[in-house]
Amino acid sequence: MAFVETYQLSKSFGSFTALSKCSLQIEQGSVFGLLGPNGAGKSTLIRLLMGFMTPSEGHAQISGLDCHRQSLQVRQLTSYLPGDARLDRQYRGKQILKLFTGLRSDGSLQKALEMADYLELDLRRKVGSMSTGMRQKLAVTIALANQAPLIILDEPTANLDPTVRQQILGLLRRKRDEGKTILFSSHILEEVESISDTVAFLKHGELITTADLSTLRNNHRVTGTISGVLPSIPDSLTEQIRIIEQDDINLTLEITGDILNGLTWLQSTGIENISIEPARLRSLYEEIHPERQEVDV
Amino acid sequence: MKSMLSRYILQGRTVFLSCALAMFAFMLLRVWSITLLGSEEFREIIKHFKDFEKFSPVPFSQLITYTGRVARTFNEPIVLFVILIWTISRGSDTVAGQLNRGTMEMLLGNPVSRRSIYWSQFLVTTAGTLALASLAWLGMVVSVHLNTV
Repeated sequence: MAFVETYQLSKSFGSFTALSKCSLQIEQGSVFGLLGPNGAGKSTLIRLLMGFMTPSEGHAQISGLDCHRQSLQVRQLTSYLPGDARLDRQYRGKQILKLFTGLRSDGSLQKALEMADYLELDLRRKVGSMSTGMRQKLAVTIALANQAPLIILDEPTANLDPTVRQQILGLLRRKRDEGKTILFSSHILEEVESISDTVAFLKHGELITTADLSTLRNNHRVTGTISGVLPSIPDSLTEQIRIIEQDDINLTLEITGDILNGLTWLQSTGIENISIEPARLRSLYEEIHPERQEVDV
Repeated sequence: MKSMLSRYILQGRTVFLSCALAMFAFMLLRVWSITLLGSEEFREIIKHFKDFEKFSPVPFSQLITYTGRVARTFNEPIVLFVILIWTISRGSDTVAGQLNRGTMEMLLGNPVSRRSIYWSQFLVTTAGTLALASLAWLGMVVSVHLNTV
C-alpha cells in the first residue's frame, strides 16, 4: 500500500465543490508536486490529508491511518507548513522555534537553529518586525525541524526571492535524501520540476492527471518553421510523434522516447529553424491550462 | 500539554503582570487611605438609609468600622475591572485570536489535539484569575500590617 493514499476524496462547501473525487497514491520516499492555479483545490486536498476537515466523500490514509478520524496519529507522522503560515507577532525568532519544537516529541531545537543559520535568519528579531520573506523562512524552519517521515508543504516558496527559494529547495532536497516523503504544492513549474518525482495537476477541484517526471524528461518538444505542407507522419512513427500546434509557418510537435527516428523524418520534411528542448512540465501545463499561460512567474 | 501551557503563559505574561501590579498597588493604597480618613461623621447619615442596607456589601453595623471599610475595598469597580481585563483578553484570545491570526493551523500542524489547546488556555486563564484574586487579598493583608489605625 502506498504511504499516502486518497480514494475518491471530495470536499464541498455548500454548492461549491473545492475538491472532487480525487484518488492518488504517493510512495514512501518520493517527492510529490501538486500543481494548479489558485483555487484549484491544492490547499483543500492538503487540509483533508491533515485531518482539519471532514471529507464530504471518500477517504484519505497516511501510513494506513485514516486522516480524519486518526488525525492526531497522522500528525505525529507529518510535519506541515500551512499556505498562509502566521506566527505570533510578539515573540522573538528563537522563542518561536523553542515553542514549536517543544510541541513535538521528534522536534529538535538544535536542528532548527542550524537551519535558521543556513537560511540566514536573524532570530533575535521579533516576528512582528520581520519581513514577509523572513517570516516564511521562519515558518519553513519550524516545519522542517523534526524527524517526521512525511513533510507536507503548502506553497513553501510563496513570497520568496529566487535566492531564498533555492535555499528552501535545497533543504527539501536534503530531506529527500534522508528518505523522507515530501508532498508540496506550488504554482511555479520550474521548482516543482527540479525536485519532484511525480506531479499531479489539479484544476477546478479535479485531479486532471498525474505525471511521472522521469518519463516526462524522455519527451522532447520540437519547434520549427515549415514552408509548404507537412507530409503525413509515417505509420511507424505515429506512436512517437504528436503534433501540438501548427499554423501556416510554425510547427510544434512532441517526440516521445528515442528522438533520432523522429528527427530523420523531420529532416525529410524540410523543417527549418528547428529547436529541440526536453518536454518539461510547461508543455503539460499549457495543455491543461491553455488559457492560463501567464499564471506562472 | 506542558509546552502548550508555557506558550500561553508567555503569551499572557505582559497583561497579567500589569493587572497584578494594578491590583496589588490599588489594595495597598486603598487600605492606607482608609487609615487617613475618619468616618464617624457618617454614622448619623447612614441611619437614614436603613432601607438600602440590602444593597450594601457590608452590614451597616460594620460599615464605618475600620474592618468594614477595608472589606468594602473588594467592592471597588477597579478590582472588578482588573479581573475583567484579564479574563476578557485571555478568554477572547482562546478561539478568536488564534483563528484570526491564522496561527491555529500552524499549531495544529503538530501532533496536538484541539482539546489540549483549549484546556491549556482555560487553565492559564483560570489560574491567572485566581492569582489576581489572591493578590488582591495579599495587597490588603500587607497594607493592614503596614498601617496602623
